[in-house]
Amino acid sequence: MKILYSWLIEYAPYQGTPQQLGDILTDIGLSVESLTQIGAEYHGVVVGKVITCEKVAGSDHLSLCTVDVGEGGILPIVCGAPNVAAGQTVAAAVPGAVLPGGFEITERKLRGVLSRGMICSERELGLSDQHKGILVLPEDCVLGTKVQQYLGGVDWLFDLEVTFNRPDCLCHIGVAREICAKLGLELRLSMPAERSATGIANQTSDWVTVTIEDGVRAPRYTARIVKGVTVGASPDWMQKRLKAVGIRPISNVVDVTNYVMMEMGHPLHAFDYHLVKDGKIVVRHASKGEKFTTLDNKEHKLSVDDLLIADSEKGIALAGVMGGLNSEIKETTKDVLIECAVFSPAGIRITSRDRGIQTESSRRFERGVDPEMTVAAATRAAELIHQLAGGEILEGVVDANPTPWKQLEIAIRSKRVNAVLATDLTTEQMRGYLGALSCKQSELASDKKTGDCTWKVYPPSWRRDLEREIDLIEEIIRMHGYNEVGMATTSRVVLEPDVQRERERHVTDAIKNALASLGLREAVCWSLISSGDAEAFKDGTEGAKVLNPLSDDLSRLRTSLAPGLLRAVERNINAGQHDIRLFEWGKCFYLKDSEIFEGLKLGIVLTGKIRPESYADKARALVLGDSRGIVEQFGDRMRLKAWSSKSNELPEYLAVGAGIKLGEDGTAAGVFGQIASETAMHFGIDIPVWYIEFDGEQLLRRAGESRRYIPLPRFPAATRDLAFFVDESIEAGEVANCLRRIDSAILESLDLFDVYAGKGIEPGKKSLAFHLSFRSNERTLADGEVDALITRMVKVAAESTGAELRSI
Amino acid sequence: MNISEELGKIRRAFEAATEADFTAEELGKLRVAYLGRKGIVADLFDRIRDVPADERKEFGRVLNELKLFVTARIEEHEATMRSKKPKENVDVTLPGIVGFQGGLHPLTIILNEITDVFRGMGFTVETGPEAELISYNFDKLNTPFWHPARDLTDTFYLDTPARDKLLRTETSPVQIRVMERQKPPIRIIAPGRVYRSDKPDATHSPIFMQVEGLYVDKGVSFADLKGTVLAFYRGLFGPHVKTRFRPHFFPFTEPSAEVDMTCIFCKGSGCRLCKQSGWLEMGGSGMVDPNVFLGVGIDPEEYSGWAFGLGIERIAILKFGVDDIRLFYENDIRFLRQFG
Repeated sequence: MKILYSWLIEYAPYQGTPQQLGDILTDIGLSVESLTQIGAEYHGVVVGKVITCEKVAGSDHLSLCTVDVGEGGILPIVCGAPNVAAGQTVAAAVPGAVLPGGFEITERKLRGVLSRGMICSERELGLSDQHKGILVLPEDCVLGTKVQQYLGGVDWLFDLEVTFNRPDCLCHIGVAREICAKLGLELRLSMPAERSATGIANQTSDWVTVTIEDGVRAPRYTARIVKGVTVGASPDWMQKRLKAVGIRPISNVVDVTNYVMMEMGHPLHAFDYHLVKDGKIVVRHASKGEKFTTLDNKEHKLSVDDLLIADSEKGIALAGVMGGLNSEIKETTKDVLIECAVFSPAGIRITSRDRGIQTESSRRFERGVDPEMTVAAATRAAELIHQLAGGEILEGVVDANPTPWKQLEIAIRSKRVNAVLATDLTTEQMRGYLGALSCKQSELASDKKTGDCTWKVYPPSWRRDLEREIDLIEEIIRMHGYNEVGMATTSRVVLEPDVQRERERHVTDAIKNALASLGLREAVCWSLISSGDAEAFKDGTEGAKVLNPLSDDLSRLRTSLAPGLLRAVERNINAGQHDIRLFEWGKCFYLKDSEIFEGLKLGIVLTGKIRPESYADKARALVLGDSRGIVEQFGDRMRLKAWSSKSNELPEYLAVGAGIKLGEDGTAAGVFGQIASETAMHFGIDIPVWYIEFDGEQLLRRAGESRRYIPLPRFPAATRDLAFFVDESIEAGEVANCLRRIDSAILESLDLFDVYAGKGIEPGKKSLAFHLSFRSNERTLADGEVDALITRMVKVAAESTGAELRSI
Repeated sequence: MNISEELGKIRRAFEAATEADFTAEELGKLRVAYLGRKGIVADLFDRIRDVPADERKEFGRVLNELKLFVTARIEEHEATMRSKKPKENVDVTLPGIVGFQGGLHPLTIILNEITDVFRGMGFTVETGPEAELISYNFDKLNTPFWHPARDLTDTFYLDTPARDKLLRTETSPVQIRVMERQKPPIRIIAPGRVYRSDKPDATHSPIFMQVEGLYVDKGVSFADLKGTVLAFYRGLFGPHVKTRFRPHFFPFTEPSAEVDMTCIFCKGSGCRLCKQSGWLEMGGSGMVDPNVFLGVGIDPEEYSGWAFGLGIERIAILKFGVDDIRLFYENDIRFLRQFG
């Protein structure tokens, strides 16, 4: 909300600087978003009259003028402006004057001609960018006086953040009221008394009738008439104020309605009385599909939820939102009907939203206006119109008020106030603050038993946000000062931590740290993705859609972390980064039986080389085993019994890969593998990329089981290497599993250390070499014992996989 | 050739082999050949049983001698080899050879710092759904039905048949979930993602992170709120910071306050980053509105409480000097590398 300092202090007799006032406003909840100086500072510029004006010989544009500056005498001034002429009243900067920007005027010679001053343009006085010619002042300006009094001096513009609950502060008087309450000043109002109380017959009711069909949507409608006006431009001072607070001047009548809104906070509308058929105002719902053209020449198709101001045959304004083109004030308007009404905030919101119109008026109505101000505001507008556009104000108002405002009564307890705030305010202080805010208050009732004082508070009509005791408590502390309350610390109770929550937090940290230690960087992607990415990424789940997305880019909730991570890979590759190892821990969402479910997932994406290349060796490219290696190492770190199995149902987005299972029961908990090339291509990636995904909820449940010490071996291990030839189609895991199946308590480990096919090997075959380690916890193993086991292994391997022993 | 002669021959062959120059690798092979599990010496020991009984003792002695000799000679060579200085010139200025470094996201780092400070003050970390019921995000937080936050232009609603969910606009619904479940005293923080229909630019992200704090007990006052918030910001930014409370409006708190903190760049004297005010806007706070308590079945006459919320990106931006909020979500490695 833009508030002009000079306008504000008309009502609040404030003496300090605008900057100090800014701090006070911030302190009482009207945060100053900006405070800017408008109109530049200058002095020594006086009103002068050009007596003579002659061209300077030898120059095509300079003129020598003689300028009468009153007491300062008559000065010769050389002027370069094309519009300068004898007889003009001008702004003359005399020697010693300082113009905006610190430019000082001295006597000097131009083309050998002495110039004792300067005739100023608007730009030279910081008034506007206008520099085509000198500023010509009205003839009635008094010679020799400072031009500031005609042009306005330096002013300050506050931009205040007015919260939604304080529509009463969306005007200068409202803000002034707050300042006066805080500083104990008396609000200076020059508002007119109600003229209808003079006993003269009400003339307005002869001209206008008002019918309200829905007293909930339109609790009150006040009309007032000024007849015989002359529509024209409003005076400079009013235009300047309106422009400063962001309103475009239109005509004296319309400007008055806006001026009163900025002054008193109540939106008004002016109709051309003769365009209101039969002088009948009907406040009614629009009929379905009813067409209506607003002031801005836009046609709207209305619904029954829209409230219209109509005459006896047609709509003439979209209630509280915008007037109609068919009844607007024109140059030809003679008689003006002023509307000052109250509309329900909810209703205005509906129309404003459905018709896509936001105006200064709708902004105020949807927050709530003062229901007791309609007559005063309409009267104030009538008087200003009378002043600026002439005409005659008809006596009386027509005031339809089907749903009168009801005064609220709120009980307040002094003990409660001090308990909530941790203050020791006296009852007098509390009553003083509330009184300053125009609340009426009952006598005190004190309860002798509890020592508590209670009383009743009646908030003013413009404070509809004050409904409960707690609202009054806020007002008290706002006036007393938020920063006057002390600081306590909440160390009174020790709370037992929630073990389950603590564990989850701890495991989450551990998961992230484990992944970081494996050389992965944590990524955070948006959880909304584009419809294209959602459709290209097929993981077999149904995703949820946003009903009202900002754009298609953010229209679907992710079902997997992969789309976001793959986009991150793409972005990095485009930025010249080719070795990418990222993980994300975050929520994914899916639809099942029309319900949205959400759960944590862990996603890991890998591409590029196994390690940064160096002068010492060339790093190889990643292979599938590297992604599996991450699964295994991560499982180890987290004490997860993670193992992978051949998965018959790999998601479509993986070209090759396997499922990840957790625990002894082998619950499926994720997948790993290489992203299918068509999926990768969709995400703009044309190099191999691997992806691992874990079900985060399962990780949380199972990870980080307590670690138990396993005694270190006391007896030596016996190691053997075994190599087999097998058919190419036989998987290493199959051979390994069959070797492991030789149920032996002494097989400590079995690791594949070589896979080879090609030269020296029969075509269609490959060689697999395993490193085996045997150990007992009770004794040193005898060679024979181990050899016997090896023999059995070789036999079993041969029987079940056709493996042929290559070497021992 | 009898076995003793054979021993002599083996010894001579070994001596010959160790006379010549050899590499460390060749020495290793030699060790395996002679002393390995299936090496020459082991093989000879296996053959003791073939030696006639009367010669066995002598053979054993000679064989042991051979073993000791071979062992001693190989170890001697090994020692020599170890003591040899590398011949080539080593350039120690060559850069270190490193692997890929992992790390945490800057927002995680900040969230961990925030969590640490709160945990130190006795707060437990809570979470809640991001696809939240409309009633938890608005109604139960005392948001009037006409409040602009409910607008389609401000909030993402979800396309389900029931039309009862949205993407939470703040972490405050977690307050409700906790208060419905648990009796006071309650002292929690709730970090997480929130969603608002803001076009992304340098200072706005439609998805961002918040932390919510809630403390409910008998006799909790506005002074407790102020004290805790100050302690929190000091814990995060250092003991010199001050806080300022400004009246504000939030539907779920009354009185409500915006919290400002001393500008950390100019220490309060006024600079470009704090718009010359000396203060940085840090977050919203207030006393839990009695209507919120009534909705979750807590008697506002018996209990009182405060809540406060802040943006994690905001803290990260201040702490790291990041100038564009979108960087947090682009996951450019050159950006991530600077923090983790």
